[in-house]
Amino acid sequence: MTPALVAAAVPFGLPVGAGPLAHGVGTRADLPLPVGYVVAGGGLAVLVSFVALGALWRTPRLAGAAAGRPLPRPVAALAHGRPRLVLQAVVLALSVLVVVIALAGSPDVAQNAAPWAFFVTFWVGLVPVSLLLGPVWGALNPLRTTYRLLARVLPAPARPDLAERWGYRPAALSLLAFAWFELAAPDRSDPRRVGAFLVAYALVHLVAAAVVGERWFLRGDGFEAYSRLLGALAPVGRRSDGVLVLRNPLDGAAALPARRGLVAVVVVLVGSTAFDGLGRTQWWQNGFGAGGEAVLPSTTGPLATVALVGLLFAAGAGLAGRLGGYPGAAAPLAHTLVPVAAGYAVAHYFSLLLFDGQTTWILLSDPFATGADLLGLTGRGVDYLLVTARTISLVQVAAIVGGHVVGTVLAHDRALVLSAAAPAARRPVASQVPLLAIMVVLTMTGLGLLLGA
Amino acid sequence: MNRRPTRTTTLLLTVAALGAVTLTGCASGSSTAAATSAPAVTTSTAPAASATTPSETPTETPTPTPTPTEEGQLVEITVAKGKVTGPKGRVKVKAGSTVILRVTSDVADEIHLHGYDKHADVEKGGTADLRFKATLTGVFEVELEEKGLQLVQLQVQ
Repeated sequence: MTPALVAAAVPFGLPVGAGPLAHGVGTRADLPLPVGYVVAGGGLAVLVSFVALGALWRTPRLAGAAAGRPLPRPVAALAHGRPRLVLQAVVLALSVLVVVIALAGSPDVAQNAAPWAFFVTFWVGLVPVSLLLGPVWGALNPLRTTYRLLARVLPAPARPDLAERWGYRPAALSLLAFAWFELAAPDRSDPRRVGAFLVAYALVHLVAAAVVGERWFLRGDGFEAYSRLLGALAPVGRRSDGVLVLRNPLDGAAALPARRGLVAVVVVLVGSTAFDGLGRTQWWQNGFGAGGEAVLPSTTGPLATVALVGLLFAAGAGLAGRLGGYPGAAAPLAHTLVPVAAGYAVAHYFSLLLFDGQTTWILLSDPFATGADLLGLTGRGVDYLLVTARTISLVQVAAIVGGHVVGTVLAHDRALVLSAAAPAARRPVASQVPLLAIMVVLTMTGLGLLLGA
Repeated sequence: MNRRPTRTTTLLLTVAALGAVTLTGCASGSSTAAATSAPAVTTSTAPAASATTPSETPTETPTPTPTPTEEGQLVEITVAKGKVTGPKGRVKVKAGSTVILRVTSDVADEIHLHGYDKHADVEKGGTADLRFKATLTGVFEVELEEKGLQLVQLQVQ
């Protein structure tokens, strides 16, 4: 730690060297990634990038929303009609229960299921569920369900045009607000604060939806947008004709509309997850982040990483457009960061979901700390022997490098599409170099953060 | 139409297989690399002065290791006036070893080892030992529970 950094940390009046294990809640953090894994992962990322430049297809291949073969009818039926209504009702009931537990249960986070349910089971669990099943939160969002119930008595939305005009920008803001709460807010694991956040989040989005209409949730609710982005990488999706299909995840990602604000959402996701990783490194905890719970470093940290990722992406996409003769490439290339964001999320939160995710259910067995044993789990400890440290490390490297591979392939295909459509197209292959450079930088950063954890 | 995704998938699979080979190839070598890189220095307590004069903190702090004793790996920490004195940074302990956290505090509080979920009460001006077998790997926080003050982070591997 440099003297300058120590000096910067001292004014916050907190002991130097004390840093939290980041994230909203959590009882353990992963071991630093073994050097060998990092070298292998990094080398592989570079190798993949060169293969992508030289040996992948020369004409666009991804069919996007037009691709896929229909799911069997009984399977598709599960996503519609009555089963869906039942699921919506269940999710709404569970959400209300979590808010009630947060506000009326034990004030001690070790005795209250709500912070665990929200930060771990919901937020982190949304990642694997969306990656496997698609944008489920759009289908189950309890705020959307509530809005539908309220809409019967509410006047017609006054400004439905705003959904188009603002695009995904409100969702980016919504995610940034959540990221701040999760990573930087004081006493963020306090059940009452979690309850207050949830109530405030619900009110803001319900009022916004009353003005803009139901489409607000798609464009403004950060959780729904997150699920939609990750869900684009699922092996199931909705084809452009509305049929539920089994499809190549690359087609799903390519089908994401290059709407206004998509870049912002993706950049916030990559940046905030990267900061969560940064916050766990000893470099950060002994340096600028040594203020621990102090609001200033833990607020500037995520904002700075988000801004850095944004600048990096804007520079890369701008340069790619310039080299390839297709200006304004940032939005059409934004989807290439989605697998990177997914890789970061899996790498950082895999073990959290497996281990601390158990706490949610253990505590839900006695939701109001009255000695009840509803699920037969009361008093149980977390089983930390579920997976080994080596498995965790392997999953982490595989996720980061996997995200890189998919992102690189998506960027390759989209660069070819953009070149083909540009009136003054030049050097489609050379134009990919800046994009690959971003991918490599993000991958190395991701691995480096896990190395320093 | 069906052919396109198939060829894409084949290419991706090739790349993934390449990745798997590279990863498993290095997995065996990495554990030795980690083992040899652990420094043999055994410093347990830092001078109390460093807490008040931070500018003297060295740029590179050696990774602290606990003091081996007959009963187990000893980690000593002192809390005075809300400040923690003890090993700087993270303490590395070997998985499977017995660890003794010895905390001296000028306030009465509860020592809490997260993850293992072990507790020990320390009295005002007293010293308490929290002894446990390090069976779980990962990074764990030790806190003064009431004050919410982090005492040390244990890295069990």
